[in-house]
Amino acid sequence: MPQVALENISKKFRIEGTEISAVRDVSFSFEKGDFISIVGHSGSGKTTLLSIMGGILKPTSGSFRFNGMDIYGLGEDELAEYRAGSIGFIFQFASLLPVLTAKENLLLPTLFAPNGKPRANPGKIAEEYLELVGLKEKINAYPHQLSGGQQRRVAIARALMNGPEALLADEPTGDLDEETEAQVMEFFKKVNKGMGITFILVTHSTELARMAGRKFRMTNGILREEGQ
Amino acid sequence: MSFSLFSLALKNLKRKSLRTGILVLSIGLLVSILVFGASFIMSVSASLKKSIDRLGADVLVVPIGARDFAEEVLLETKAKTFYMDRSIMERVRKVEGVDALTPQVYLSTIMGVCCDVPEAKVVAFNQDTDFIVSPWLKKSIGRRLEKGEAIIGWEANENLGLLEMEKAILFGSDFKIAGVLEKTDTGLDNAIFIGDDNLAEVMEKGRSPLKPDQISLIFVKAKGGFDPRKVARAIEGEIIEVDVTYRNDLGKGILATLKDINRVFLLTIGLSLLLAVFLTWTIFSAIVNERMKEVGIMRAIGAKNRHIVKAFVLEVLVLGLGGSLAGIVLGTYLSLSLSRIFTLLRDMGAGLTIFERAEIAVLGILVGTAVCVLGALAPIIRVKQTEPLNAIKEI
Repeated sequence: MPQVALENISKKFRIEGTEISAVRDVSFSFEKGDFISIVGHSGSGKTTLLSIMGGILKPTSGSFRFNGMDIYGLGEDELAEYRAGSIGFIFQFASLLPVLTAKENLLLPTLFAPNGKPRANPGKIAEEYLELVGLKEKINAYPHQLSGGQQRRVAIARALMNGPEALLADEPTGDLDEETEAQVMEFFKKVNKGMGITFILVTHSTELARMAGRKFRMTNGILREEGQ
Repeated sequence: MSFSLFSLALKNLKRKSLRTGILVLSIGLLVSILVFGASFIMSVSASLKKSIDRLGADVLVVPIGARDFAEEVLLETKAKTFYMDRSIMERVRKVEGVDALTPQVYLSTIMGVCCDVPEAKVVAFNQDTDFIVSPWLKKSIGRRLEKGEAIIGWEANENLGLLEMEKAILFGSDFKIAGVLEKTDTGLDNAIFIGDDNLAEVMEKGRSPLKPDQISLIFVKAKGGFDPRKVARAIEGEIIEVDVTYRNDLGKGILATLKDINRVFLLTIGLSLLLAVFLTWTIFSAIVNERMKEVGIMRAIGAKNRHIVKAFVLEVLVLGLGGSLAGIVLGTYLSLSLSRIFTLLRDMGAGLTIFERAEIAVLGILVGTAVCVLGALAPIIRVKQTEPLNAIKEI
């Protein structure tokens, strides 16, 4: 059984009376531990597709299964538990809560852990993850005291806090300089290989997309696997 | 403190401390009006009830037209004099249903003219028939007053400090101060008491308007099985020179005034409540709009609806409790410090017990918190119902 399976997923939006198809009849699946990249121009529908896989946007039609579970057949609370425990979402924008320190931002998802049971010693895990992303000395820093790259790394560490099976990253290196981008991508590889976490990367950069094991291209809402 | 939704709520409140301060202050002012108003109403009505309950008589007989004066003497701190002929006592005694009766005579001191004490009311009572003052006298000094002795009401001693004088000149005669009467919580706390066996000497010295065989008021007890209200009506029917008041009808004038004050107070509170709810709604609508994206992020990383609601409700509760506590302190301080400038409170010597103040405080907390919850309810429901992605996009 594939870890992730999308069958005939479509998503339509109605904007000012006009219906727009953001995702058109997408079907694909992949196994646990895969590193997937989805490349495409801005407006091609890749963020919409990632949001569907992230459990934050219901498709207009089709089914999305994770470990065989029909995600959009779940109730509100079960869907929230899927978002809290099964996946980690890395946004394309600064997504840290401004009133919380780096460590507290990492602890935030543990408050929503499935069945109300976070992993043991979340404080220690948060510190370890911050060390892993090279921000040990910024544990008590607030987002406004961090650079864009540092904020992005904190958000990546946050996505790992509840021990997800898959990470969904939406343009995770969008506003980073080349050096930081390389560091982040290196870290993603480490997470994918070292922790066995499935990685789904959405990017407009073909160079970054090349690092993935399976590469997809999205054009006008249609997804095609490259090299097939 | 370990990280929790409560610490998130506190941090969010600190984020815009001026806005938080304004909301706390608004709730505080609302609760202070509530606490002050409730203290006022409760003080007066509790004082009135205590006064009536502790009077010990079923019916009061006073000279015609002196009903209000009698209430002022018995329920308030005022000194009034009014007299009727002592022979009326015998006519009252003959009315069916009358069990016991005792007279009182009221005199008023004038410093430098008759007496060496500031203006106060002096009550002369008959120690052989009395059932009004005697129970308190027994508790206070354990014996009857001797001729030439006076005992001071609890409040009168607080105000005049007569106990330190040991002796006082009242209406030209020397009186030894025998002690202070235990607190009765009636208007009589403001009086100086003497036995009516001193009245002959008082009249002899000619320093009071009292004439022989005059009394101010008769307290009547009804026989068991007789309706005191009917006894009161019977006395009034048979003796045209008197006004008669049934015990429970005492203080009707004050109660009517109190009802009007209560209405004004309720209207003020009602409008203030609406204003506070509207203010909370406006501020929380702004808060929710500002944090819509953050709520979306929280939902995307696994927060359930109840987590979002809890985070906002905790903020609301902290605001409500903080504002309520500030309002309770301010309202209590105002009710204590301003009690002397309100005639009704001053005249009734009204005060509240700790328990009654605690009741008002609980009411203040409940109202203050409820206002916050009510005002924030609609914005919280709106944020709860927003889809995660729409929240992130701040749609």
